[in-house]
Amino acid sequence: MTLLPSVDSVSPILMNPKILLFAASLALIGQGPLAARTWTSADGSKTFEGELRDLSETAKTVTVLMEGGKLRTFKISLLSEEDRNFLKKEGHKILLAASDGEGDDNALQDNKIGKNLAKEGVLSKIEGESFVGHKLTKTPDYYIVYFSASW
Amino acid sequence: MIHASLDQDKKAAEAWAAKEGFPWPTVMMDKLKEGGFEDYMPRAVPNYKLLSKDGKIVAEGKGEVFAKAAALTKEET
Repeated sequence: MTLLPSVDSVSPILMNPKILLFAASLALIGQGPLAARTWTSADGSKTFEGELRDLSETAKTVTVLMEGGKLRTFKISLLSEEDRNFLKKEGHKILLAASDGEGDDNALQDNKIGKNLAKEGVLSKIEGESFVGHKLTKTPDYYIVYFSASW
Repeated sequence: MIHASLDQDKKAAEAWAAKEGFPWPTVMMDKLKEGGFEDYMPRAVPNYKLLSKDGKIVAEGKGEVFAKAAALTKEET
C-alpha cells in the first residue's frame, strides 16, 4: 500500500509561495530576491555574491542562490564569522519576511495554523535516523496536512 | 506539507520517516493538540486536508486536496 504522495503529483505546486509543501528548504526556491550579499569563506580567501534562500539550523547548512542562478547548499561552518553571525541574527527573520512579502511577527499572529506550528517543540524533521526540532521559515496562506501512521 | 503523525510509538514513527526519507516537517502524536490539529483528526489514515491559514478546511482527501492546491497555484500565476 502506498501511503505517500509522489513528488511528480505535486511538483507544480511546490513553487507556490502561498502553499507550504514538503520541506521548507525547498519552498523558497521559486521566490524573488531575498538577501543578496557578498559571502566570504571561513578563511577569508574567497568571496561570492548570492541571495540567501534557506537556512537549516538542524543540518547546519545554508542555501544560496548564486549569481548564475544555481542553488548551492553548503555547511555554515565554511563561511566567515561575519556571515555566520549574520545568519544567526538575521537569517530566519529574512526568510520569514520573504515568505509572503508580509513577513513580520504580525504575519504569524494572523496565521492561526502557522502560529501553532511555530510553538517551540511542535515541529520536528527527520535527520538521519532521528527527529530533530524544526522551525518554519515561511508563513503560507495554505497548508496541506498529511495525517498518517506507520501501521 | 505538514506531516501529522498518528503513531503513538515515537520510535516506530521515527523508523518509518527515516526509511521513507520524509522531506516534510512532522507534528508528532503528542504535539497534535499543541500544534492546533486536534480539531482536524481524521477517522482513518492516510488522510489529507488543505487548511487555510485561519484554520478552515478548504479541501479533504488526496485528490481533492491536490486539485485545489493546483487550482490555487494557477490563480497565483
